[in-house]
Amino acid sequence: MDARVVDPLVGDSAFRLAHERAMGALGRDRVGPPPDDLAARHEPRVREAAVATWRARMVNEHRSSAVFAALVPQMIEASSGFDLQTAALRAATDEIFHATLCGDVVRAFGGASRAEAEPELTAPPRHAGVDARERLLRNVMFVGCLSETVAVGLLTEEHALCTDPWVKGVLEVIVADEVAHAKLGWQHVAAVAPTLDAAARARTSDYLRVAFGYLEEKELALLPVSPPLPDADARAREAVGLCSGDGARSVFFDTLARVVVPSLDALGLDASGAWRDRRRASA
Amino acid sequence: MSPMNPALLTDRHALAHQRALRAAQAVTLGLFALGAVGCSASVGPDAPRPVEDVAAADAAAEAAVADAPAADVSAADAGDRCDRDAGTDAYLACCQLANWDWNRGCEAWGPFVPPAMEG
Repeated sequence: MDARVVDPLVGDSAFRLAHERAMGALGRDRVGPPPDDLAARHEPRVREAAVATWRARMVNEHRSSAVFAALVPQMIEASSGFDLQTAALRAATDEIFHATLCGDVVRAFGGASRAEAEPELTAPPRHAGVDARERLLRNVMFVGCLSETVAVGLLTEEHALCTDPWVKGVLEVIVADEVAHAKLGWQHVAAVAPTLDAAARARTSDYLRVAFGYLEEKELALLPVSPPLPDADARAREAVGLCSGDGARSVFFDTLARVVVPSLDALGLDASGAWRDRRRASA
Repeated sequence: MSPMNPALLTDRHALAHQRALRAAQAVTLGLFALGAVGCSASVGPDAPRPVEDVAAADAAAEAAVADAPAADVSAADAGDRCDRDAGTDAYLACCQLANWDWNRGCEAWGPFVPPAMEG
């Protein structure tokens, strides 16, 4: 099966103008074009790392758009409010916007923003044996309360360490959206979790064990361990939005253990137990 | 704040780490402070989100994070360490062992597809 193509550069089409306007309105106009001397400000090997990393982010963000979009049918099946469905579709559009911005960064550093990726996407699970409301709760909790809350931490760290003004502006716009995506999850779980009966609450807590173990595996694979670099090298990479893997892993673990777990516990779920037992859970 | 993790090599990294946790805390604080009605729904489908919201929530979250227990980050969790003072050859060998690639930064923004669990 052929790989699929990810290419934020749209050709001439009936939709181009509407697409460009949407991207501008979502924040691309605020970021503005890269300065002419952007590439010259950074060493060639730093530019090369920026191109490779931001291109991978472009592919990931594009894929994330499908995650939010695929939650909408589950929201409809669960008779959720139209407001939640609108928020999820907005989040899906945000992710296409982020992929567009990532492509802008790739080209700004001299790379080509066209990439190839796996041909087929995985649909959100249906969790056989649970009803539509519980199915949606699990998936929105994983996406918003776990994955996107960690993303807020990771992006905030990268933004704090980034020193190139234009790249920092890109990260700033993206993290503002990720905050809203995480809130989507927390607001939904805060509304639904207290209404669960004891059996559903126990099943949801058990699901958290699977979710924590899975997220740990996925995140660590994308947060490569880096040795402690000489300070000049570390600063050069941080300047273009590239954090160190071990620092990011520390943010990942602290965000889960100190923020996500206590917040889910406060909503009546046994997140502490699930976090403790995550490595014996299998998806 | 939790005991310093070895991954936090400098003051700027420690500050960035604290800021990251405060930002993450802020997205959950709205639940309890505002009765599960945050600001995300207040932005229309074609409007950029105000970046100022992130900074405003930063201070509010600081105390909550400071009171939370520290993560169980083991040495293995935080990654293998390579000694910069061990000499170039040893340093590069350590990097290779850790499968580290200069061109690979962090790519884990997500969200990922949720895992499945029957029943």
